[in-house]
Amino acid sequence: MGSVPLAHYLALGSALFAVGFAALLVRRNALVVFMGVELMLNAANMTFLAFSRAHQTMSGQAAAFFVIAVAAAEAAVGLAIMIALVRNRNTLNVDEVDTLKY
Amino acid sequence: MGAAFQNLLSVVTFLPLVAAFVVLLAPEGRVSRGIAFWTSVAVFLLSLGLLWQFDPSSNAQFQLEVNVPWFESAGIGYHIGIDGVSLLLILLTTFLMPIVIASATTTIEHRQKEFAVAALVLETAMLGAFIALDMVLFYVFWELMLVPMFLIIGVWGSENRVYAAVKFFLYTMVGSLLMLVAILYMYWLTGEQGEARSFDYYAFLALEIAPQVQAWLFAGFALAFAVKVPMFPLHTWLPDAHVQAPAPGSVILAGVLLKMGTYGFYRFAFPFFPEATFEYRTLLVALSVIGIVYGSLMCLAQRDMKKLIAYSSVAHLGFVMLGLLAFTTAGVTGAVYQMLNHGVATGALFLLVGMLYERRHSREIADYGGLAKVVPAFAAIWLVVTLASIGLPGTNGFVGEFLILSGSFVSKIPGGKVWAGAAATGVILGAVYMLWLYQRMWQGKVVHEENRSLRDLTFREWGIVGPLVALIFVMGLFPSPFLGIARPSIERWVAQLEKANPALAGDPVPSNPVGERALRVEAVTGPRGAVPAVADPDSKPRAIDPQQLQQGKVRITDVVRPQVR
Amino acid sequence: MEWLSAMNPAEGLQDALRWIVLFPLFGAAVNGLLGKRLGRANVHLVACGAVFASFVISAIALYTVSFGDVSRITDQWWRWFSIGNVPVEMSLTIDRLSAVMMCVVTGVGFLIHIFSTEYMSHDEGYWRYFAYLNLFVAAMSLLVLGSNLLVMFVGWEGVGLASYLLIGFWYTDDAKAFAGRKAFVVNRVGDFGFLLGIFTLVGLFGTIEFEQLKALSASITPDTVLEAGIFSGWTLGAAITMACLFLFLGATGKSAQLPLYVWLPDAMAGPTPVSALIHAATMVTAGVYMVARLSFLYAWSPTAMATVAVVGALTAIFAALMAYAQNDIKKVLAYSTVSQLGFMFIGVGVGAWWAAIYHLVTHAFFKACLFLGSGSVMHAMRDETDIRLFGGLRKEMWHTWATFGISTIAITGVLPLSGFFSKDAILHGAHANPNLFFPWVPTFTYAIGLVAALSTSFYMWRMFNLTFHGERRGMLEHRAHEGGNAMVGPLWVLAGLAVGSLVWGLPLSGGARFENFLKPVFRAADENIARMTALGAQKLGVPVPPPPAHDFAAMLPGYLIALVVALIGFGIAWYLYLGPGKDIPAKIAQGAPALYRAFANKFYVDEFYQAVIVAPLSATARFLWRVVDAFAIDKLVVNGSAVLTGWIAQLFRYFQDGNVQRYAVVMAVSAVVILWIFLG
Repeated sequence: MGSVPLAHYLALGSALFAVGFAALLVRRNALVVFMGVELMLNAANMTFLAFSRAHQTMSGQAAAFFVIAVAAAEAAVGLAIMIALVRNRNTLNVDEVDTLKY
Repeated sequence: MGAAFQNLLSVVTFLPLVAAFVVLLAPEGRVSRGIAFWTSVAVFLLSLGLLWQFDPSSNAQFQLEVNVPWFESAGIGYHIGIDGVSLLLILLTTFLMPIVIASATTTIEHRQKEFAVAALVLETAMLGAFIALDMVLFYVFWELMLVPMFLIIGVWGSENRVYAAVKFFLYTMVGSLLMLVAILYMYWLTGEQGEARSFDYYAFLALEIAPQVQAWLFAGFALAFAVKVPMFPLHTWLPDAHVQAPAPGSVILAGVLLKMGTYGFYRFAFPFFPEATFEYRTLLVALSVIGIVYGSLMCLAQRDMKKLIAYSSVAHLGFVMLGLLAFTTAGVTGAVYQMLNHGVATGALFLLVGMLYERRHSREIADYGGLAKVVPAFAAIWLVVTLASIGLPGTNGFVGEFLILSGSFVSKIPGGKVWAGAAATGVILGAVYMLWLYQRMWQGKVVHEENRSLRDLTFREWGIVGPLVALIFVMGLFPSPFLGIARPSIERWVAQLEKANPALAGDPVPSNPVGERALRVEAVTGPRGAVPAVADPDSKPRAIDPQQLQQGKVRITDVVRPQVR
Repeated sequence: MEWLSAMNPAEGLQDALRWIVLFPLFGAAVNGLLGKRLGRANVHLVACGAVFASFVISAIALYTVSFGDVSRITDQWWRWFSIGNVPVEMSLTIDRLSAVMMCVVTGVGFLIHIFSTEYMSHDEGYWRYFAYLNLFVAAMSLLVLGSNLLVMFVGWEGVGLASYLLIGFWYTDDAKAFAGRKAFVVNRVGDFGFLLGIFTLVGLFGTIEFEQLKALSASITPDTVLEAGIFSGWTLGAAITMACLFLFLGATGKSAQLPLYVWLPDAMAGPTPVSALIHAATMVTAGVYMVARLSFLYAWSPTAMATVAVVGALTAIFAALMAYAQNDIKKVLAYSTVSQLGFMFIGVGVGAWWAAIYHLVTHAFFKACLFLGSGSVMHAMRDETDIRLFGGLRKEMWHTWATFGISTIAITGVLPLSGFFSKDAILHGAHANPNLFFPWVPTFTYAIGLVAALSTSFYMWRMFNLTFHGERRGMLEHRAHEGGNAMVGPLWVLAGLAVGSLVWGLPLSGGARFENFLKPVFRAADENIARMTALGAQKLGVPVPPPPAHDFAAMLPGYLIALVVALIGFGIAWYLYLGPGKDIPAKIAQGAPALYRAFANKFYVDEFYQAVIVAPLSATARFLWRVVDAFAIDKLVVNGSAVLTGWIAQLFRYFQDGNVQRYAVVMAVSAVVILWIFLG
């Protein structure tokens, strides 16, 4: 079967990562920021899998599973924090929750 | 049981920590208080077992030693052991803790359970520091002390408690970190000079360090200990900590924690770096004497009684340092004794202050006055403790102060006579500020109406201060049993330093010695010419039968210098 | 009582000596702890009984050392501790000197206890009072009986404590509490000297036992340059002088000599029997006793001896002058005590040891009697002490008048009474004992001593006349009444002793009885003085002066002079306060107000000390606290370093504004830059 070249995967991964990172940097809604993070994680996953396949080793696949697990945990904790935020502050705007300063 | 008996030292040390966990799980109130109190009593009784296991006449530097590898690859071991001095300090600690915990029942008003936990953890940390013979072990215990004490001041203190707690923590921490650096450097040196790197006490003791390096390392150790003592001018954390700490906290702080500094000098700083010690001794002596006079003068200007007692601690610990630095048996014995005395007398003072505070919620001296008429027993106890604090003969304070001053007067400190003379003015100043305090608080007329209805000491309070007051007299009149425990260790210690520099350390010789010729007691003639003589001052004097004397059966023997043991 | 029936009384006494201390100590403990519940009669019984028991043992001991086979008995109690290699024994020794002292302390003490039972009958704190009084007797016994310097020091500070407690007995009065504190602190200054003296002897000889020191002192050569120990480089004489002077500083504190006498007049704030026992008869003589105890050492230091004699002489005259213009009956007696103590120090300073101790004993009798008499007057006059308000009390208080008069005759040194012989023995010693090293000292002390004797006579008769003779000047409505038997009895006993003790001072063949009695005690000192004089004569190239004669013929001129001096004082006092010159004192006060004020205000010595020592000390303390401690050390250095750390942190904190997205931008840009550098 004709395989897709590695470079394509990497390009897709980079693009996904850039999109996610942009969301992370510019959006003020915590939920969207969170989605950006998820995008970045999956971009990394994509890259892992691409290299894994290209090098014919399984360690990349294993790393991807790790990332998925971490992302799941993150989603659980992150969403919980967001619910707590909404309850306490009634906002999801990250600019308004900057008490972690000074 | 057998294992516990063999490892009594470890049992004594860690039993409070175990109890702390138990207390943590116990319900708040009577149960947790009871567990804490009875554990501390049990620890005290067990530590009396140490007294039984300890052999003062032994030649070993340390006894009851346990040395098992811990992190072998890093050269860290669980190495513990005690000599006479640390045994006395352990006993002081275990003796004070039940009193502290008992007094907390009323002086600590909230979170009593947590206080008991903190106190028990603190006890383990303090005992651990006294028994540790591995530098990492020591350092762990040394720093562990800070945490519960920080909490005791910061949680149960008075209005300015957080400031005082943070100041206490940071101040002592900064000093300790420099010690840590010095320890690590020495650890590296053990690898250079021996086959393997080690944190063991003996390995450190055996190091040969160039004088310039010694100076730096000594500075690191000395700074950590001098802060804890506290020596002038590193003392300003103490008044704040004492004033803000709750009464039981002050008792531990004054009673045991301050002794950590002097103990550190005794155990580590001086023996590790003899050359640097002699190099900087005059400086340290000067700081001690300044501490005595300066601390006493500070007391004259205070309006807050806890602050006054805190500054008096600076003066008292100045005496202890002076005695240690004399490097004579008398001086060091006195210093060790004064550590105990200060723990007992100042501890009792802080307890009494706590009881007063409970009644009136004021530390201002001006809020009292004329109380002796209202609470006579309280006044009498306060007076006894005051007299112990100013070193009246018959109380324990006198023996310590006298030994320190005489030991430093006759020592080989350059200008020792002058330093001791200057320090002796502290004896005058001590009477000035303590009796002034007594007059302002207890004598005169009652000026504040609310003082008229004060309650005298309760039965429970008698139980708390009673043992301390009894100890004041027992230690004042019969110091030998206490000093006998430490004396061989101290003699060995002094001999060690004397070997390092005979010109600057060691026991003095009398300038005009008591020779046997000179001591021939002249015939004491009564009107009828009978000649009984006090023959041997070591034994009971016996009268000599004049008839036997005439028949030549008995001769008046020379009085030889009594042998001291 | 097994020890009494023992074959050898000394054998039993060895264990009995401690009971001299223990009886009053137990008495103090019982009364102090339980007194409130015991009831008045039981408290009296315990207190008086304890002191009487001590007195009985002391008397037996005195008998034993006087007439028995032994002249010294030691009770080895326990080993207290050791100063390095120098053992400190808690041991008691009684020889003739301490036996006499003990009998005075417990005997006079017992009488004063009896007197107090009535005098303190209206005070609710009586049990406390008797506990303190017993404590005092115990501490004083320890002081006297101690066989080494440290046991003596225990007693020395113990009597100071008892004195503090009793002066401040009525502690609700701030002035009285202050007087007690002042006494303690001033005494502490002296104790500081005492301590340094002990240290010096420890460094010099390595012992503090009197007997060992005495044995050592026989073989001293003062010019030896020491080679070992802390005194290497010093001459032995210089080191001994240092020890003696430090110890004498202790004596000036306890015995109220210049410059530390200031506490004694204020100590009159205590109950009057206390003034009689502690501040007249016994405690204040401790310094004299201590110098006499160590006479064998002082003998080797002409400098220290001269210092003692000169300080004693100056104190004698200075205190006598201050007594001129005092109107408080107890203050007059207080200054009189200071002055008489000065006499005793002249005695020990010139080597007339026995005379000083003799004067100590006779003074204890008549001064205790005088103080108790003044107490009797105060008791009768509603605690009034101002002699300007008294007058003509003879008619109302015959017993007090008579005993007071006898004691006044005794203290002023009029012929047949004991004070005459004791004071004159001192004056004789002052001018007759040769002093090669300071030739002016005999003349000086003798001359000053005579003037002081004249002054004594004047102010004592002034007070006596103003109090008991003439007409009542104040409190006219108040009728004085004599106290009961418990007060009158001790007065008569003491007056009798003041008369009777003259027999010891009669200059019969070969010196006074008392002199011969104490000769064994002071033999070492006399021999050392002879040695020192011989050495000095050799050095100066003069012949060794012969020892002074002290038979009746040699004493006679001195006796006549002293008698004349005493009578002149009496005459002046009679002329100015009873006779035709009654208005002269007022005229003097008016004519020279500054002079009068200086006398009345005790030459402003207290004010001087206040301005020169106390005020600067407290100002220094405040300055050190506010400026050095609170500001320089704590604020600038300690908290300053924290503030500095804070400032640096202030700079960095702008980098952390809490906006996580901004952190991310920084991160992203940094990552790009790094990648650019490394890859590009």
